[in-house]
Amino acid sequence: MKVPMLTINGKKESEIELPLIFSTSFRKDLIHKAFTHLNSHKFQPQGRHPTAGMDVVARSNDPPTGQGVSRIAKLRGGGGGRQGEAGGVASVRGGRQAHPPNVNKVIFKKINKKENKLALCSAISATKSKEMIESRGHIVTKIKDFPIVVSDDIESISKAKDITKILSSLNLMQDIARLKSRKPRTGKSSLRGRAKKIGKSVLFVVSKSEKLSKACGAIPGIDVKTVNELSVLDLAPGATTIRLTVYSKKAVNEIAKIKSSHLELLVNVK
Amino acid sequence: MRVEQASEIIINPYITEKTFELVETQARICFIVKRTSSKPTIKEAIKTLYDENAVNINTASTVYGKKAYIEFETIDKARELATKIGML
Repeated sequence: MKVPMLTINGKKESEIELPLIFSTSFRKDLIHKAFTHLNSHKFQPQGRHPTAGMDVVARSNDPPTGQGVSRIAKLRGGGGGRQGEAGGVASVRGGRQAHPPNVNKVIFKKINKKENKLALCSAISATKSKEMIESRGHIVTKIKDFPIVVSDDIESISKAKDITKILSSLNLMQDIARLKSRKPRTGKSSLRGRAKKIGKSVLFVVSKSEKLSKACGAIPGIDVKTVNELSVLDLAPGATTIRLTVYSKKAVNEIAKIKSSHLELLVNVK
Repeated sequence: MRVEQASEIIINPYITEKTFELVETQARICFIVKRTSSKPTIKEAIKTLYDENAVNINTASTVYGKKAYIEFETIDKARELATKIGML
């Protein structure tokens, strides 16, 4: 399969043959699995103090024969304070939680290497479909050919002023403008200072990201990744397929070197 | 049919020793599909997702979900698709 390679001015320079990895079929189930498992690797363990709510001397009068009081545990002692109050158990004010989160719970979800590789190949391959990019909510009405491949000049750009010009010439600015209309979140997350959330727009996949990531740093929603860093987390944020991706020519050549067992079989079939 | 709809119908390939053999012997691949899907919609979903024609479809509702045994035109086509979806 051949796609046009564009210059940084948005004009067609030549055609480039896509590597075999782009003929991998779409596996939504695997992409979803890879995302949920890889996303769990950045979770922090959460838990309560082991004795929270139980640092009291409380005993129940069980059975409270003839005393006319409830069987719930009550604090011992005298002289005012909390004495006589219920405590030390769940279901009472100031008591412990019934089933609190535990730090010992294993929240790291393992994923098989080959499964992860296949999910990555499937996600990379899906970037050639305009329909799937649009289904994630990206605005790509002016762009005809996918995946977008740009010449290597883009890797040497380090100024935000230059990259904004390139983005508008590649017709990508309309997707970046989409993020501005995002409303702040409401409810508890808003009260806790997490009202603003920045969406995801264009992903640049390059061979060297030092300069370009500097240029794109100020533009919200844009990410720059090298081929080695590339994962399903970048290509399918929130496990929804698939993100608008721009490859450099060198990056496409590096993607061709990705090894996967199904690709070896595909060579034999063809 | 849109790809989004098709990917909701075809959930995942069902890979066991039995279904593995079916590819080479009967040009069939077994998929787990949506419970409410019908044979014509499965056929359409296969066309949009993998660009292959399904010759015959047999379904079976099991505890693993609804299985769809999909027969393709030739064994070569079935083998190629099985490779593309990472089944082999």
